[in-house]
Amino acid sequence: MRKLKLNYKYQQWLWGYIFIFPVMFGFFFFMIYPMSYGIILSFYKWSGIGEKQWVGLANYAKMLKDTHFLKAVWNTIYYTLGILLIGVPLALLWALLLNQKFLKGRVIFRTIYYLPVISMMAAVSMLWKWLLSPNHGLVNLILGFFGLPKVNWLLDPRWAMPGLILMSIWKGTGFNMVIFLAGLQGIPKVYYEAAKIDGANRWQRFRYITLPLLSPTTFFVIITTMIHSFQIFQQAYIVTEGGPREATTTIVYYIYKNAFEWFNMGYACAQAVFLLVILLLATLIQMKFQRRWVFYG
Amino acid sequence: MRRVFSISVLLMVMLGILLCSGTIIGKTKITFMMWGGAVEEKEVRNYIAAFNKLYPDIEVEIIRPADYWPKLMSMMAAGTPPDVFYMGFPEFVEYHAKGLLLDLQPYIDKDPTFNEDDFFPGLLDAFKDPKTGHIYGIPKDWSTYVVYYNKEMFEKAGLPTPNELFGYGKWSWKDFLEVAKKLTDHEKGIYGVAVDAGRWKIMPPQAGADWVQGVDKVIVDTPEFAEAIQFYADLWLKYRVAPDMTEQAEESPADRFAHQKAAMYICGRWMTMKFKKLDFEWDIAPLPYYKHMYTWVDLVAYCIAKDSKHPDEAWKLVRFLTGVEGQKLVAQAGHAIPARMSVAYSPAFLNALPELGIHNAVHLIPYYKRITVFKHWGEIWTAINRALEPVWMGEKTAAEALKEAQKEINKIMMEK
Repeated sequence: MRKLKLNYKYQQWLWGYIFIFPVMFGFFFFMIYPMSYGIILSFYKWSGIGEKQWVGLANYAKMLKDTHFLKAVWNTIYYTLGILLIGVPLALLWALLLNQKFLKGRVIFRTIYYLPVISMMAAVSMLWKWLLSPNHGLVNLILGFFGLPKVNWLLDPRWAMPGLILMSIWKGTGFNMVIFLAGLQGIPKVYYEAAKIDGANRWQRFRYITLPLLSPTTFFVIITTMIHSFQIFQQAYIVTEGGPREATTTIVYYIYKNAFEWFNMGYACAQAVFLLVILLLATLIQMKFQRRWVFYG
Repeated sequence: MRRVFSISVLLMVMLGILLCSGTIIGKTKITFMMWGGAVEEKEVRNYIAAFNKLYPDIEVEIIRPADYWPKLMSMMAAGTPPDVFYMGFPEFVEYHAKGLLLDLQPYIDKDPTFNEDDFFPGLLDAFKDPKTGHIYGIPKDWSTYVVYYNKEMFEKAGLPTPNELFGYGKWSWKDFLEVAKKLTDHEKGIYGVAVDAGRWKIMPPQAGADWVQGVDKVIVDTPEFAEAIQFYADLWLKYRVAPDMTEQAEESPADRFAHQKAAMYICGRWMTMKFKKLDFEWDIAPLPYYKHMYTWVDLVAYCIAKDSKHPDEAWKLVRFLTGVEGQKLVAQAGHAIPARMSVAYSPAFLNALPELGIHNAVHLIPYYKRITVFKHWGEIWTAINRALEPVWMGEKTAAEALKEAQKEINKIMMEK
């Protein structure tokens, strides 16, 4: 009897692994293996092809003294803060608006706000290159309408990054909006009804019901948006090519340059590891502090 | 569920059969990797069609990736390189140093009709091993920078054309500037000349700057270099005869020329393709000169991968494309200069694009000194361009910016 039971357990175990094998295989060979290899490479001087040379921590030492890399780190943080402080609240605002029953054509608006998310980045970048053009661009036209001065978006080092942030918000906010919408719709109506009976006004209902009950969603949105923002590359690559004066050279853009254009693969790997560590730390810190404000009902 | 499963299995089997059928017995398949736009691919298809008339047994598959260099690098690293591929003269240094390219000398030695002397001086040298002198790449075609000019605008202004001025010996920077001033009309938004700031490389040797003195000796902080850069920037900063940086970003200088909002434009031979269909008359003239005459040379070769599984077939393709017949096709296409002198100095090139009536021979004036090449190519160009950005905006003088550039260059050269 006992033997049979073990056999049964063993069978369960076997089948379980057989079923997850395709995924695990892909995960191991296309994620874990390249990632570990990248970490190993960060200790080598390697051009991408041919012989490798062990250099220990030299790549990391070089990185911390490389003013261009430090500039890229700062640019990436600037971009991420811009997206988190403007893009995320905006997504919540849109979600709140589009969750209102009285609003006619909600579905159409949701679609419209989501459209940029599924558009190709290359096409979006070309479009925004034109929108941000100083003399004929729509953005400056609108600024002019409000009596604001013209901004030389993509050629002025002070304004290039805000330009990219603007574009990325337009492109990415729809995605967060949908997540927020799902979160909003998961909040039971009874809480609002009860609050109304107790005489809570609109703001109080938002502050004491919506925000706390939405906090797991908000937490998810903030973490994923942060990780995503730290990896910004395409916008910088297509729209500004890292310029003007490195104002939009982000970490991943600089990694790309080093890895594929300048034959500094080992150095690029060290930078990628640095990015990984930063993201890991930022996520861990947030995880730690979530107890203070995230409310799992 | 079961039906879905069996259908997908069936589809996968069919896909597998389709993929395998690529290797048709009796035919050898080689891969050919190129960059460029769809127009260039169409031309390459023509060349290969001509090749297949001679060698019907060799099937050529064209690969045209979006990101050429990363793609080539990863294919090489994976051990499955394309058999034949484009190779720029600057990139050649790094790829050859890593031993990724096939030595073509044995093939050339066996071929009595190859005739090395038929290639323009310097072109083959760019793809030779510096020690053994063996050739590792055969020039596919090349280009020199020239002045494109709008004939009608010159006529209307009552000015002699740049070619005439060049003939009179009056085509110095000063003369060029005078002409540009006369053609500029700010009210109508017309500039005398349109240039891309990023193409400053045509200038320094004209002012006497011998800035590349070896593959690891790049010197930019000289008064000559600074003078050339400053003159270039002053075209829009001081003299206002060219579109400034904002205008260059808003409408590319090439488009400005095409829209008749600039009377002259400086670029390489490939622009002929874009300007072919313009509805006004234009021509090409040599670049203006200062202390020296100089033009920049762009050059691309065909190389064969050392790990190629069909090197003999690959060589046949390269030999055909760089042979007299293949080079005639290049001449007819019109977007580049044939690498073989026998073709370039023949009606095939001199009378190419007859409907335009342009002076193709301008490209053949031998006023290039040598082909500029140095180590850490991409990184050093980035460093110089980065330093020059404030100069183009009028916030720094060329001399100041170039001192910084030199520091960066020294750092990059030292580190490796």
